[in-house]
Amino acid sequence: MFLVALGVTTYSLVAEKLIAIEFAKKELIGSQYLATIRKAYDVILMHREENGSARDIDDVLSALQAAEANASGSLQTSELQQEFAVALRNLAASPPTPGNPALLDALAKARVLAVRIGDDSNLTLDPDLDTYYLQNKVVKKLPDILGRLGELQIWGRGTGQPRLFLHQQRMRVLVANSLLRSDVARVEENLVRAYRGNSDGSLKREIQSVFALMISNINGYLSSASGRIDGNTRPTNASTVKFSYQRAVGSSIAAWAAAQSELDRLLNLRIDGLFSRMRFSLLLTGALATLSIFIAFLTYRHIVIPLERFEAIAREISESKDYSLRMEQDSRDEIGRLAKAFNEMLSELAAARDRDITEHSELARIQRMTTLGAMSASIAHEINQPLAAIVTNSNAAQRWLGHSEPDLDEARAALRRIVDDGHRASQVIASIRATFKKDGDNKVKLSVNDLIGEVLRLSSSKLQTHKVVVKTHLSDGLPQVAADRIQLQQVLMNLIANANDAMTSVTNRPHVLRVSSELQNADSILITVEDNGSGIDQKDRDKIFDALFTTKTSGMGMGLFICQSIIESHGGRLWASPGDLFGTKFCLVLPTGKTDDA
Amino acid sequence: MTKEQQTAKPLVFVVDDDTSLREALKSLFNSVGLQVEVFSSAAEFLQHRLSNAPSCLVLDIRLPGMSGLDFQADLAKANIQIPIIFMTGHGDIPMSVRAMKAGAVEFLTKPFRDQEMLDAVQLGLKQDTERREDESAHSRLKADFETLTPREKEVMALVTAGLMNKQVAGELNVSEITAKVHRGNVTRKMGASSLADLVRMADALGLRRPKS
Repeated sequence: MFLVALGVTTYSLVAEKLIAIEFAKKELIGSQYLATIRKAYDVILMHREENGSARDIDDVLSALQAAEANASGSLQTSELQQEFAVALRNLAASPPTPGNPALLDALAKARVLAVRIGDDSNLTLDPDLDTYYLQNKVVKKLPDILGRLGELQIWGRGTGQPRLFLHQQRMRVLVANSLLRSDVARVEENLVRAYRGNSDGSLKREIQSVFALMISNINGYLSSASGRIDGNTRPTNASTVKFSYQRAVGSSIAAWAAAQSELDRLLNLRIDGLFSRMRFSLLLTGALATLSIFIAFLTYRHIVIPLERFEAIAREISESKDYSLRMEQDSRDEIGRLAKAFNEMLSELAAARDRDITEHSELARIQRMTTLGAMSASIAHEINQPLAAIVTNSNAAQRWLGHSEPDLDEARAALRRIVDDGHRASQVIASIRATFKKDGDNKVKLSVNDLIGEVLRLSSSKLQTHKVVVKTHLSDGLPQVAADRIQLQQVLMNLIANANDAMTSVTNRPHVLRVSSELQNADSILITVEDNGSGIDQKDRDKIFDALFTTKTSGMGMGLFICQSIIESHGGRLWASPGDLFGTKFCLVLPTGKTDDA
Repeated sequence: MTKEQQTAKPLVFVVDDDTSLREALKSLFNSVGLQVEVFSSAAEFLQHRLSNAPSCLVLDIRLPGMSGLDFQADLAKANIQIPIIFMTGHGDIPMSVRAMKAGAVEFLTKPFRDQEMLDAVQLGLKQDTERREDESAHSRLKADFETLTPREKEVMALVTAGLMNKQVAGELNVSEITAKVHRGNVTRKMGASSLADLVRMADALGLRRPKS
């Protein structure tokens, strides 16, 4: 696309200039032709009457033929040239007599041919004033002037006796005389115009003197010739007239030649100018094309390459999910800003993804808690059912026995059902313990400290809500324990949640939760969870691990029971003791893997 | 029919999936002289032919396959009007509110006190008895009304609308004596003790009174 536009521009530039050059070249061809015609004039006017050698005319004829051959194609002059050639041959054949019609005819034909060449000149429409005036108004007049000079000389010569001038002859001479004067005057005027049109003044410099000479010679000739015609003045010597005639003709031809060569010079100058302008245009086009290519290259380097990198990074992120990737682009331009925005977006995405993960783990925690809650509810129902039956059966038995005639059979049946229900309740408890024991398959080696950190992180929002300060004292280098991660997590979460609940009623001191881990002895780890809350009454302390025992208004009394079941299934122990100052300290002992190995 | 109903003993239905509690409740209700029918599920209860005796339903809110609250709604939809006492293992307030709004007699948390359960059952039975009495009085009234001749029905409508004997006669285009005879028949057949009594009966029957 770009190249096509470039090609079209270049072609139109070159074509336009070539047309102008062709135009100027045609003028040069015309000019050469005219040079030949000038020579013909010279021969006709200067030498004919002297010793009118046919040889000179033959030279002119051959030169004319050559000029015609040269001009054929660009000038349509062959017919006129033929006529002129015939006229010249007639002239060569005729004797040199005064008022020779063959001479006049040759002059007329030469003029017609010269005028045709002048008319064909494109300079008629030339925008440059110097060449326009020079060609159209000056050079085109010169054949006329030469023709009239010839006529004047032929008619004016007569017999050399002014008295014998025929009246008709005198009239012709007078007309030719005045026409010549007006022609000369017009040439003078137009020369001034041409000089004005020539910007650098070179035209005036070159031809002013030649034309001045021509004009003075013509005027000189006219005055000498008119003297001869009038006959009033001293009879002019015929040789003087002839001399001034020859000077006039010679200087006119010289002026014509000078004007013509000046025209050629100007046209050549123009061709050179056109060529140089074309070269300049081409150079400019080339430079623009180069610039365009350079800009395209810059665009490619600064826009396309970064865009490709953007695409590559986006694709890599979508494949690898590595949101830490960044677009490296420090520039201050649009691409740089885009890269900055792109990177910020990636950071946002990464943050959003982190939030997502956190929320997800939060969700998992809630789900686990719900599981524990659902399990507690289920266990509560399982135990509550036999308890309710026991109570109702006892009531029924009492009523049967309270009758005026006690129904011992019914009472006995009720008591039997009570025994069954009691066993059923204890079986429920046993089955719960067995459930945790069965899950021992899920045990993996894990770091207690990692687990504590994880649980504290999961509980952090709840602890923050209640303005609880967490203080941890975790010993380094603890051995790993074999445990069911989820179950142990449940236990720690339950203990932390209890600690948190125990502190909510406390308003006169900061809420502090202490969590510690240490090696109790070679084969067990002690974890403590201590609060500075309200503490547990001495009488309740033994019951808190019992199923369905709770001090909370909304509790089910299953939490610590399940916790203890879990810890016991891990071969550990869980107990509670009063805190150092306030609250309660829950101690959890877990055996390390070493005992298992030993 | 009336006689049969009076002799029918009140009946307590128990629906609970726990066998032991079912048996305990049966024993408890029996010990105070109540008839008991026990079922392990709602479906089983629905298969049983309902008795004409005043009865109430003791229902565990956690039933296999169906929640007690949904069952309550289903019964209401099927126009089976039976007072319900709910039992729950671990009752929460929204659940009990919902049950009570839907017309439950009582909402008891296991383990419950026997006296509370017995009181609730007695209340339920009383409600059911009253409802049944209302229903039977109405059907007796309807039966009495059907013994009237078409002309006597017209007379009853006009009289209870407040028309004098003369007006009734004019309205029906009969003599005043004839109107009086019809009126006497209506009063006797309906067993009304006064005009006010008759008006009450007409209201209960939803008798449309012609425009005066």
